[in-house]
Amino acid sequence: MENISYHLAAGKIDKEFLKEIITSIISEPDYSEDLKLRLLNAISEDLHS
Amino acid sequence: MGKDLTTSKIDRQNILNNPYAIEEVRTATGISGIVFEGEFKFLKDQLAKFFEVEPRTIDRYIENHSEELSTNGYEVLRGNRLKEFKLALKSGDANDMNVVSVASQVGVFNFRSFLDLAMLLTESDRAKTLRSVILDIVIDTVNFCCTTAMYL
Repeated sequence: MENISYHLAAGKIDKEFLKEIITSIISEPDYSEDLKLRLLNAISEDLHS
Repeated sequence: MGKDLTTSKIDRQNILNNPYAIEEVRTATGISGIVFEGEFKFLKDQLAKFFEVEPRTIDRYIENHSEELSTNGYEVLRGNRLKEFKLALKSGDANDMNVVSVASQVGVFNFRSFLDLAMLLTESDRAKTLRSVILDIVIDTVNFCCTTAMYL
């Protein structure tokens, strides 16, 4: 979660995506593959550019 | 329907191009194969067993994704290299030896192409679990890079 807050502060995670992440944390045993992949793409944007 | 690794070639390749993450996945999974030419090699039957699918399912993926799998290290051994591979195999599992003893050519995966196959296979629960582990590890490595850079 602290990593999520870091990326949120860095502007890589928007409000909608944060809502999806929190919903997943509350209601699912683990993030779905789709969510993990989108999270990976969001946080590695700078690394690919 | 959500996006996943099985449908996104660019995401699969981005992951496979991260050597640090691949090394972490190798350590975490503890999967080992036949040591040949300085790296682990895996036979089709070994992977079929690992992923709990029929060998012909693996054949189908090799056929449909031959270019991608070859780019990531899948290759067919023939001639002298096959002879050397059989020698390397002799010191390993006798069951694997039976598979290749009479074959004139044998397809082998390295660790990278094994992970690529895991990211392609839709029929295997074990592949799905491995994809989830791969994504966890890659996210962790990116997080580590970002947070480490923050303190430098």
